[in-house]
Amino acid sequence: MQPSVRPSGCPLPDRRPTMNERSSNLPRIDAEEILEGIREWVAIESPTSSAAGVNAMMDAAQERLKALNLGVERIPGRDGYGDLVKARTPWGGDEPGILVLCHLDTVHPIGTLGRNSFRREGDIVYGPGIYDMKGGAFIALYALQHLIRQGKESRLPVTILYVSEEEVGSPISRAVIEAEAKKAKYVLVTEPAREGGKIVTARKGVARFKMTATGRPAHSGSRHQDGRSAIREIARQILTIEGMTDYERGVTTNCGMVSGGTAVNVVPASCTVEIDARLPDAETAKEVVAAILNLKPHDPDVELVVEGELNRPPFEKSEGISALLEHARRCAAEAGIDLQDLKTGGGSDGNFTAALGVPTLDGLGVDGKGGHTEYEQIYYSSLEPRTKMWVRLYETLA
Amino acid sequence: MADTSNEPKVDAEEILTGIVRWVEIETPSHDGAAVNRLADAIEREFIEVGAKTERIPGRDGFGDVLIAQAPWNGEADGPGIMVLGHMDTVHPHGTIRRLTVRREGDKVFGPGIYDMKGGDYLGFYGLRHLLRQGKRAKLPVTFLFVPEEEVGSPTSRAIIEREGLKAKYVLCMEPGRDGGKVVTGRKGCARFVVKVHGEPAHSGARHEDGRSAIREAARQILDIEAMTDYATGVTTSVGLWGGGTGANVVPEFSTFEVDVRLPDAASAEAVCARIANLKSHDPDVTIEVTGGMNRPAYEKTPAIAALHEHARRLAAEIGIPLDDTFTGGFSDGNFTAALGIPTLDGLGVDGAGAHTEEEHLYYSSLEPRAKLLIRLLETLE
Repeated sequence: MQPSVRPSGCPLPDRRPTMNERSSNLPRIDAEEILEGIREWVAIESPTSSAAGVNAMMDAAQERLKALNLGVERIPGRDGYGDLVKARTPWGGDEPGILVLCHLDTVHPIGTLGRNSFRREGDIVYGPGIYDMKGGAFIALYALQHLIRQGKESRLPVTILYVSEEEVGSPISRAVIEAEAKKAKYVLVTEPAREGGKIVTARKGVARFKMTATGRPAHSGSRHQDGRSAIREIARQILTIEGMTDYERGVTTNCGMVSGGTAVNVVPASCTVEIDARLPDAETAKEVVAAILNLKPHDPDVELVVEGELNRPPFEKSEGISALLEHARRCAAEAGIDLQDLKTGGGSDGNFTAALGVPTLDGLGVDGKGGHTEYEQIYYSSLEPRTKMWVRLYETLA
Repeated sequence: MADTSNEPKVDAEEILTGIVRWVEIETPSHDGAAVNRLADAIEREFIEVGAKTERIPGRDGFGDVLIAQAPWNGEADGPGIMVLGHMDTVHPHGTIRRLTVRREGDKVFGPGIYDMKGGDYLGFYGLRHLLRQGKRAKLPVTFLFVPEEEVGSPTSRAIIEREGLKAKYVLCMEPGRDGGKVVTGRKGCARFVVKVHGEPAHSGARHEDGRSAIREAARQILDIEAMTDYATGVTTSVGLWGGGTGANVVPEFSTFEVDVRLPDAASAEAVCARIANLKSHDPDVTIEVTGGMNRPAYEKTPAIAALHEHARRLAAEIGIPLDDTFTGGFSDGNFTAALGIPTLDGLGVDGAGAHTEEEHLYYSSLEPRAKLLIRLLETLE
């Protein structure tokens, strides 16, 4: 193995190496180097809706993968979304391995970088998408690079998949994610850590619905009694649906968008509401989805149509996931991290893989906060230990 | 005896021919030039019978207001009769190709034929018939044709009120309804915009931190809709509603618009106060209500009742009943009635299907309704 060569343009460590390090010249995990890589990726704005921006990110990621001599495949995007990039270690053959799942799109429109510029203030480093999830995607890659620099291999083959549209629900990549997950023994998702570095071992399922009421229009002055208000019907349905929220059971419903009517003086013939439901487990999901799909109009003269389904299945903490967590806790302890897990309501691509029964750990990315906001940030101090944890996961998962 | 048969008579065929001439000029409210083409046609006919006319130029894209004075107006002093009509229709250009002018039995179809070119023409025809007979009314008679009643008379309201205040009676030629009934009361109308402001949150990760503006709006909407009381004549309708930015965000904002119809001043005050003082159910959500009365209620005063009784006696002589009705839809009659001027509305032609592509009048109503107007002009004093 060649001794590691620092990529040109990367700043040198700001401390003097010790005599021991100088003499050993061994590759080491360098937070400054990691941050510089993250900076390069954050500088490429990649909102989901900009296929060009996402593809520029894919180009940058692909270049790094090729430099590591991984087998790289580019899967063309469609429906206005950017491409996907898939890479596989040259070792390990077809054996079921580790799928590292990342998305390189962000929720931030082009220009957000002008407001939330990349900058470091003490331990905090700001930037759009730095936390969700370019930071996490980068450390997983850096950890693999670290292994390769040392002339080592992971015990299992590693596949890295970068998707282009997670932030809108992975409409084009879901099939690829599921196909790769079925070939994998473990799935590690580089979504951000939360609440002090906790990882995610369960996520709620996400269901989406669109409900449309069709009433009967009438002039609200002269023929009010002939009208059947679609808005009134939807208002009642919304209270029913919102009433299904049960924090104890972990069920939440949200009527996020509503639109109805044509003019103030016409009893409205049409009204539509869009609904988001979060569901903790498969059984609850089945029950609540059925309840929403079976809603009946209060006014028999109003027609009600409900369309929708479970979009992301619940990601439940199975025995396989618990075992994987225990293994990760040991890896983390070696890196000085007391790794805790939690359950969250937000969906991710991990929902797809966990629902297939593949042990999945999520939230393995960097620690920070402010995902989806203009103060999005990571904690510099989390870079090195989280990377070490990744290195140990690659080295030990079998 | 031959020359007695040659006396002018009220002729339904002649009336219909006149109405159709006006219907064939399509006049959507928002096309001022089109409305002015009809104003030209109406003005020509009035000038031909010796009326003095005046045009008040339109503004804001609407057509002109046309005022025509009966030839005898200079001789008879004092407050007179104002005959009120509008020249615009709700129908866009080209409607006449679908809603063709045609007669099927007693029904004659056409855009605006019922609301209200039929009534407009009856007014003119009544004047002409009197003049043909060498007669005149006891009072001065002023005809007022406005260009934009169907959008709420924004430019003509002041003129209607100014001319209305000079009048002793207002005869509004809006269509008869429910079998030829005239209108002696119309509800008032109030309009409100309600803006609801909650707290946004991600519906997955932070649902409990959110305060849904849409949920609060839904509750308020049900409260407002429940104020409808057909027994008292109060109706409320939330006609427009919007809110939210995405299915997965607890919505921060929601806005809806309310149309309220109120039978009298007392109910108007009570209901408007209730809506203006709506309080949020969720203490973390704020609501802001703007709006209020838009058109005052047109209430059946004793003077209006007396005017109706007078008209009913005249109708009986002609051989038709003349019941009155109260309606929720407003007209320019609301403005004059609210000024205290005895106003009788719905004196136009009978028919059905206003504002639809089935709009039609009843041919059989033309002769008796023309006679009724003529008798009103002859007898009111």
